[in-house]
Amino acid sequence: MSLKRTTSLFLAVLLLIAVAVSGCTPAPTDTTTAAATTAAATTAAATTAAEAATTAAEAATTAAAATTTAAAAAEAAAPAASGGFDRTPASLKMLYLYNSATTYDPWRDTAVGKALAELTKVDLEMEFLVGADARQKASLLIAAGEYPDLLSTGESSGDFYGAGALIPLDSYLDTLPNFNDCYTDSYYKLMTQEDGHIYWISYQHATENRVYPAAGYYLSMDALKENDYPVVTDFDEWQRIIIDYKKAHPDFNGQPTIGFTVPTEAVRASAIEYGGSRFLAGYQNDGLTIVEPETLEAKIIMNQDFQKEFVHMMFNFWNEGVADPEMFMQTDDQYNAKIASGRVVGLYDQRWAIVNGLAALETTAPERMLLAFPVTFKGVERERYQGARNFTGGQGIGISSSAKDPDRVAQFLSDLCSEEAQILLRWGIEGEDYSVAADGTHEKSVEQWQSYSVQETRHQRGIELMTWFNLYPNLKELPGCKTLPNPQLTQGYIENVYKPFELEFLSHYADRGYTTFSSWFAPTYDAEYEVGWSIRQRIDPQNPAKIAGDTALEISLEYIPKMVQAGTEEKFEQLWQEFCGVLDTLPLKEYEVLATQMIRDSTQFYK
Amino acid sequence: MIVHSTQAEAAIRGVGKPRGFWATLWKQRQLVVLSLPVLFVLVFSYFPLWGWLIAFQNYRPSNKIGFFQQEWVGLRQFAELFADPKFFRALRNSLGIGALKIICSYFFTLLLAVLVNEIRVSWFKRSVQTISYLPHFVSWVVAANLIFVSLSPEGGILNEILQRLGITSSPIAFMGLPNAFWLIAALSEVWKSAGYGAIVYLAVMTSIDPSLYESADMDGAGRIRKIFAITLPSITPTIKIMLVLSIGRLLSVGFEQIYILMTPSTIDTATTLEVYIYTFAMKLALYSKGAAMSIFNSVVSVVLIVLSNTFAKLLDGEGIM
Repeated sequence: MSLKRTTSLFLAVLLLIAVAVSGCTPAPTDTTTAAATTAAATTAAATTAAEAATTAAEAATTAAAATTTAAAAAEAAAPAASGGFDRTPASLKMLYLYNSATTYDPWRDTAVGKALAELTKVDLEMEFLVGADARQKASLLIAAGEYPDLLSTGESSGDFYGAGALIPLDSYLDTLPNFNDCYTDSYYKLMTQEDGHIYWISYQHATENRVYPAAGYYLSMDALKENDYPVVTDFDEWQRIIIDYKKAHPDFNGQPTIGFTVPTEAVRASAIEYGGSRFLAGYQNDGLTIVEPETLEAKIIMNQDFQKEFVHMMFNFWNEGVADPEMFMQTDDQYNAKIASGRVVGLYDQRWAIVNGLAALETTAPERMLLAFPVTFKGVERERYQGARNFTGGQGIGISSSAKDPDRVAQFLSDLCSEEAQILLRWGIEGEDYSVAADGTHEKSVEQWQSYSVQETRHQRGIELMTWFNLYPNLKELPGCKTLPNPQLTQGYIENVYKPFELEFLSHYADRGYTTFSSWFAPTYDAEYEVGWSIRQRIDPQNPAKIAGDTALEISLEYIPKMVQAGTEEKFEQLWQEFCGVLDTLPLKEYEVLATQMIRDSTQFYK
Repeated sequence: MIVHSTQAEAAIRGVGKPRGFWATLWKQRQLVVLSLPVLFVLVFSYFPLWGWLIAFQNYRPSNKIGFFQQEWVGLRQFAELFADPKFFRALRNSLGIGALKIICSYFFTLLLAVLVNEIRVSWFKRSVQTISYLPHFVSWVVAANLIFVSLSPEGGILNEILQRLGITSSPIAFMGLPNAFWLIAALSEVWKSAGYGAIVYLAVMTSIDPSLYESADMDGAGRIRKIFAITLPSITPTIKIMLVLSIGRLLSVGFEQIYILMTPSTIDTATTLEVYIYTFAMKLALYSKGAAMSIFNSVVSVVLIVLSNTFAKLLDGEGIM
């Protein structure tokens, strides 16, 4: 009897050991992590987050084993590059940590994508972020320890860098061609991390918005028309127009008009947490902070008086019944859908975030198109909505530590930096999307401009769709063709971009000298330091200062709806004091000190 | 003769029993198969527990630092956790939503089971059962969308009804009301699980001896009387087991449901421990703090299970453990 028992026990232990051992070897780890990655990738982020989190948690236990092997592999593959590598046909995977602008595959389904595949001999499998929470996706990937070959770091640069998810690119940048055409020494310095290496190359080159401003307080064309085409620069006037319009027109198309709405999903809530108020006070976009132009001192926005004014504006709107009753419970898609419906009278946002909604609005109700204005408080002398022309190194494309053949991936990046690839990406295919003039510059016919200026048709061609590959500086002419790489900065675009309804609308402003929707904004200026939002992306995620900043955002998102829905002035005031009290318990001062230091350090690269 | 020599060899080697290892294994094959589920539990539920170690580190996933080279911080993560007022708010929300869910689910599940049991027309009974347990198979994402749409202040059906009946003058954004969140969470859980939960009770009810009902009929008992005197007492042991099981899961409020239903307006009342863990581990990338919190979560759950089992024993002298 005792032998029987020992035998079974022995067997059980044997099996257990077998499973435990196999669990620690890389092979099964791969499958677990792959499962976690696919689970996270193929399904809606918020919805399967729970499942993915569980899988990732399981995977995390075996991640230690995986990371050691990955590190060894990365070391072994340390490049001894001399010149270019072979362009053997390769299949690569890439993750872009933003939403996809389209429903189709930019590399495989578009003419430009196919031409690039031909040029680079690479079949690229793109994966996009679902939802708006890039850091959540990054955390899942990091916990699993398995990455696609190429990572577009988004706002998670610091997370990936801290986790060793990217390999240093220094030797490739020195030896492979084309990189030096795109980046100057100052740029390289701005992309260099604390440990002295470059892990990603930035596609965030200085640019200007010559036809549509990058950010502003938006008003619908219809509301502007009723007010006899004003140029709205005063905060009170902006609010008055919205309130009056909502009262005069409670409904549109059988549904209630929305006087004012805000984005609140994940990172997009930044518009109300700190994004909208700094412009009112005349500061440029510096992320969580404002930066005093004279002293270059960074200050957290969330508990500033001008932020209180901004929240109070929403409080007023809420009490007046002007605010969207659903504004604190909508996803980013729902927010854009509301914009597309034509019901929204006013909002604050950055244009890139609502560009899909606006593109749809153009077809549903163009007469209610939303236009941005440089609104400020009374007494603010200079507005800085358009901000500085600024190269930033805070995010970019890097080669992951999981890439099997980093040399081949580096060669791919180098090929993308070539003039030929950059023209394909932004101008399209010669003869079909543009032609070459006698002096060698690129130009488009009126039809080609028309096709280009509609986002949908442009994207179908694949033009200006893969903006994460816009590695060549926007404002520097391409050496071969003497044309700016970005068609949107050329005169031809400015003359051809506006549709009839926009031109008609602008004609009412012609006598005051305004010819574009950007012309009532102050022009851009040369950057003197690295902007605060880019600096924030670079700070190590485990740094207490960064954690304090992130926690303050969570607290902000919790308190703003409370304050807006406070009902009475006393309650609002009381909540604001409470909110500031909670923020005071965080080491936000450390964030300010760190950001100030980094900003001052960066000035040397902007001379 | 071969037999003899084997026996002799065995005797020389000093093996006392005539059977070899494989023979024993074959003989005890049922035992071996039975040990597989135990193994499953060990491998998938207990083996990963070594990952709890990161709660005592300041863990950062990295290719550069090995697991044991991470910074060890002792109980610092726990100390920071217990100093955080938001942690206790999360605990309050977990317990509150969990308790409310159990109470509501119990009441409505039992009610449904009893009512369905009283239906005499069999096709109607079957269709009610099927329709009521269908929501169980609907994913929370779909369910949440249905809830958002029907509670919406812009044309949501509930607001329409309330306004047409003159009960409210202006639409209410239910999903944005911090105080309504617990109830919405509990009632949506009822909608989703009551039909499915009722199956267990209905199964037990079918095994009640019909002669009990017949004698009650002869004694002149009405329907209500029969429900309270026969049906409910007969399923009491099942009710108790289900209660003990569900109290153990009190803190596992259900992550997806809460995460999907919560909005910025309701962060205050909707952030449960699970959501809070998720915020730390996955949004702020503070894995150690998340692990510390989930250890706490497990400890509280074990305490709850033991307590509810003791309570069940006290009631009538028998628990399930």
